[in-house]
Amino acid sequence: MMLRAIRLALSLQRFELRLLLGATLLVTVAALALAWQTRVVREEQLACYRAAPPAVEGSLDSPCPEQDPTLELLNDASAFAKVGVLGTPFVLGLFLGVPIVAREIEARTASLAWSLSRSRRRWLLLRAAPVLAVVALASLAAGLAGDVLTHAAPWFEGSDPGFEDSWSRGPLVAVRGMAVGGIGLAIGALLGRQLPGLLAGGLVTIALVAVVTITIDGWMRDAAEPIAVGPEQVISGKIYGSDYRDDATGEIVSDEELYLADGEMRTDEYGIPLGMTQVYYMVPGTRYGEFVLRESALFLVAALLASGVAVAAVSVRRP
Amino acid sequence: MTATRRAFLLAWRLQRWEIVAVAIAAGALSLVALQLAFRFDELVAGCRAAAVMVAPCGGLDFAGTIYDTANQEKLYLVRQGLAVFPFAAGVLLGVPLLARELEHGTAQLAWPLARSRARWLALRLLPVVLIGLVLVTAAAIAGQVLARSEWPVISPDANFEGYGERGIPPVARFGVVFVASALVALWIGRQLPALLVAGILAGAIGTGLSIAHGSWVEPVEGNPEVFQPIDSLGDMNVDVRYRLNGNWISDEEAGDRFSTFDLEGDNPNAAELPEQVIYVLHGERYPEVVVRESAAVVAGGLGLLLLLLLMVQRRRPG
Repeated sequence: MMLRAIRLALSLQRFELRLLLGATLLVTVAALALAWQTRVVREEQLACYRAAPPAVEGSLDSPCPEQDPTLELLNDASAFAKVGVLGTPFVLGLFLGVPIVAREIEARTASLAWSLSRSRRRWLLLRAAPVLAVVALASLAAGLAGDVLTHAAPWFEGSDPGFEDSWSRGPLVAVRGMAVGGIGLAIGALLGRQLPGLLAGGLVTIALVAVVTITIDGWMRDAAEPIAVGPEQVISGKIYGSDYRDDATGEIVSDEELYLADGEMRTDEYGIPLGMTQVYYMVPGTRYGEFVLRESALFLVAALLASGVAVAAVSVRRP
Repeated sequence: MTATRRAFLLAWRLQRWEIVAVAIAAGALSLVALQLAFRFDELVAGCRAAAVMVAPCGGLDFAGTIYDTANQEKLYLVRQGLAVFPFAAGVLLGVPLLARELEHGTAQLAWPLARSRARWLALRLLPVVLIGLVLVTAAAIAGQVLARSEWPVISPDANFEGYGERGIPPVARFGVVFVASALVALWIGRQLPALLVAGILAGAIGTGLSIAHGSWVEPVEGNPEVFQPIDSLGDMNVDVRYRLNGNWISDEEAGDRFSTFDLEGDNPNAAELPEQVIYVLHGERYPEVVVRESAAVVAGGLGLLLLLLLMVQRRRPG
């Protein structure tokens, strides 16, 4: 019975499922292939570096320039793959979420289906759950491939990518897919028409993304802490501003204050004023997971609210 | 009630949401474009009275446009919007025209009742395409005003900047995408799948037009004495080739020769450096390119319309 319901839910949207899952598979495979190739070419370059004679002081020439054009090409292609991963939850969520109820109402099959089923809620659950599960799983696959691609970048070797590419990697992509799918479901149930539902669902999704982005940015600004960073130290995190720390007193001073105190500011070879250390106000990359959880919570709340609206709409509306 | 009025009323009743969405997009794009144009006009008027040409006025002498960093992001977004709008409007208005009738099964009733399927198609298609053309034309006019204000030292009709975002090309592009979307909808017979496929097709048409952009008229060798952007204002670069001692060489060979050039050394191979030749379309040829592209696009649209007519006659209504 359950299996039949799942099969029916998926077969009603088989064209969209085939097309969109095909596109998602393409994005996922492309991201993984690009990550693999980037690692292979970078490994060749590192082997070349290891075999190269010691660099002459003052020379800016790379001893292994052969791999640079390929790495550049792979990086350009990776940007397209990341855009694909970024768009996956939105396209999947809207195109698969909106028609679940809207198509039944528009085609006037809802009156028959609702009167035949034990309850409208049960009908909605059996129709929506398989489709939203597909949205979540497909988005998760794309998000995990995006994560592999981000970690494969040569500039993240041995370091944490932190907040880099946060919109196109990890399980957060799947959570976004669930939220957008829920919104599509709710709008489709409220309007009862597919194309208008798609348009309105797109607008609500844009509004949700704007609200979440502004909220998360506000939380991150509040969480930013001053971190002293040496001139050659590799850092990872979201930076919101910078100042200097007086090494003798530990006092934090700004650019302007330094300039006003000493018009002829003397600096070291890295451009840092003598006796000072650069301080960044930043959220370290190690807190990425915490903010992913916070953002996931916001999207999950949106998904639950939207699902509640869909249930209410299906329960009370005329078929 | 006349047949025309009835056709418009029916189009409004059946496609109200899509028409409203396209109208809101057209209104918003036109409003922001005109607002930016007035802002640029104000700045340029201020520049005419200025004694020293520094930013934002300095750009007028150097690049033919003012340096207004405050509005750069908005300008970029509105120009992207103007370029994409005809394609999005064509898909959004063209797909439901036939897909909705087929998906709901109303074509089974409407087609036998109509005097002929061709007449039915004409009465359903013409009002929507006319509404779409009016809305896209409004945005295209706003785009033309914006281009005139953004590049005040040159006529927009002799300037390739913003090509496809203003004037006739967006209107022609809307027409062909609209008919192509209706054709896809007739073939698939369901709204959302047709929307996906028509969206992909519109993207392909846009990419094809971008690739063909420099091929409508023969480009010429650009002036090598271009030192500042204003020296080539309005021109469009379409190709870069490399020449050595009068013979064309490949991009790879040119790259190899440039890479061995020592900027600070004695340059023993200076005589072996290739000459970079840029092929351009001069701004004066803008009207010619617009006419040729639009003619090709309209011809393609008419061909697709003919195909649509044939398919409507043959397709099963269910």
